[in-house]
Amino acid sequence: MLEINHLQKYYGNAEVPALSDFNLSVENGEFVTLIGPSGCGKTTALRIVTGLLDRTAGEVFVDGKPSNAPSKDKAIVFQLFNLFPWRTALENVAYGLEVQRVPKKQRRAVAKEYLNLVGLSDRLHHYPSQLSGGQNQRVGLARALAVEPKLLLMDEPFGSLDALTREHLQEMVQKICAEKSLTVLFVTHSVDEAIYLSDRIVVMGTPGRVVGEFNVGLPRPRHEYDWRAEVEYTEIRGAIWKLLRAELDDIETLTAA
Amino acid sequence: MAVDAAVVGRPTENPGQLGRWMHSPWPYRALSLTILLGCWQLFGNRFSTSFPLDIARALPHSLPHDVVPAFGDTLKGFGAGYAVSMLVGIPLGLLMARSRVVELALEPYVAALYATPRLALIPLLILWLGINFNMRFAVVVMSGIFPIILNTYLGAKEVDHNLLDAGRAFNANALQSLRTIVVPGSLPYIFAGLRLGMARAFIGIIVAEIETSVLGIGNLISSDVRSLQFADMWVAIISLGVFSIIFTTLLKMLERWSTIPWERKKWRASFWPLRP
Repeated sequence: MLEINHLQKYYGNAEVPALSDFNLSVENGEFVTLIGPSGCGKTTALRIVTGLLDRTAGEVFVDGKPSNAPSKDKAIVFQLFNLFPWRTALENVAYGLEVQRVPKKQRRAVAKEYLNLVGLSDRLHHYPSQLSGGQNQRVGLARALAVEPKLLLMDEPFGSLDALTREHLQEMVQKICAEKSLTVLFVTHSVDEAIYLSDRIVVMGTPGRVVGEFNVGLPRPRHEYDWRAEVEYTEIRGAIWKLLRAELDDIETLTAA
Repeated sequence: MAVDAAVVGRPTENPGQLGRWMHSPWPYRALSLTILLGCWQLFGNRFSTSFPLDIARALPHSLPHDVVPAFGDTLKGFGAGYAVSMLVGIPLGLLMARSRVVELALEPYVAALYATPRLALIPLLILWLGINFNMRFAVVVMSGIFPIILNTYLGAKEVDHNLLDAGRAFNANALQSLRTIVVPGSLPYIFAGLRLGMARAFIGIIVAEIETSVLGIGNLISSDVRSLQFADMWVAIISLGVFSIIFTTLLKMLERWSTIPWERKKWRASFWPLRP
């Protein structure tokens, strides 16, 4: 489904790459999470896959076709929502279809359906400034889902939300992904979030490379039992933290030197 | 707004007619105007040239016979020039912000002409275009267009990059980004330019009319002074002020209407204090 080969990115004249030889493949229907310390290049990788950022070298294939620019088969959910403040929830969700020139009636019907899916059917005509952070991010999610992408990209989508809202949205994303069997590439800072949502977790380190991969075999749906009580959770969590701690120590020695 | 509702025992929901009046600016404006006119009437001397009551007496004749026809002439030049400034200025500003070639080519001229006192060109324009409509039209465009171009350009440059990214991620092409993101995102700046351009354009045409003494409200004012009709002169000047206020208010209404749609209801309630 998604194939990333030897991806490399230098920003401007930087001497250290943001990504050096980054490789990843994501199967159809798989939920893959990139996790790593800030500055390890996970958002850079996601933006290159989306087509918002140029790469220095390497290849990205979606469904076997080279992917160099934004396209209809990909959609992204941003960390800071990036909703259009002058558009209502409905108009925001319909945006992707609007630029694809889907007729107004049809795109509004689709937008309504997806706002319904994220539980905002009573907020169709509210503007972003009238909605809470969690509600705005649900609009952001609906906007991405409304174009029915083959690949859904999520860039720390719950990073700016409070803990309760985050759990609520994690559960919602899990349900929707199962229902629509979506292929997702997800970026996060939270180990628990990664374990809860993912089929596979890719741990990244500086400068921009993969330092470890974990398959999460916890049965789904995970909100229906105490997944944190499982041995597998403790093991994966421990292993990821060990890798991350090593990475963070590296950064510390680098900055100390 | 949220704080208001939290104040215990304060009836914010239905303050009643009197309460609404007290919260609207109009009683205070009426009071200060009364005091101003009262002082002028009571303490004015011959240096104030005329008195409010004399001006009020001159109004019924002067307004329909002199001021309104003169305004007609002024508005012809102003309306045409301002419309052209708007129709050319806004697209040009957007183009400068979105195309690097156009930006590099035009920015120095726009910035320089924006800062130059362009009224200095009026004598030259009279020489080129005569003293009729063409000249007044040219003065209005020359005065009004640069604030519009510059503000639109600056506003379009300031548009949130995250929103442009969102547009790009959802496959908007350049024209769609312009229409759905750049234009709505820079509307507050565009309106600031329109307001500034209006004021400049208005100054431009009045100065041109005073200079040429042929037509329009500027000519009316200078001929009233020459014939020592000071009460008539004041009628003309005051109607000029009233017109500017009305025009600026209309622009402001349009601006709020288009830039903060989620406050339309609340704003309507505060603007018309006695609406049920």
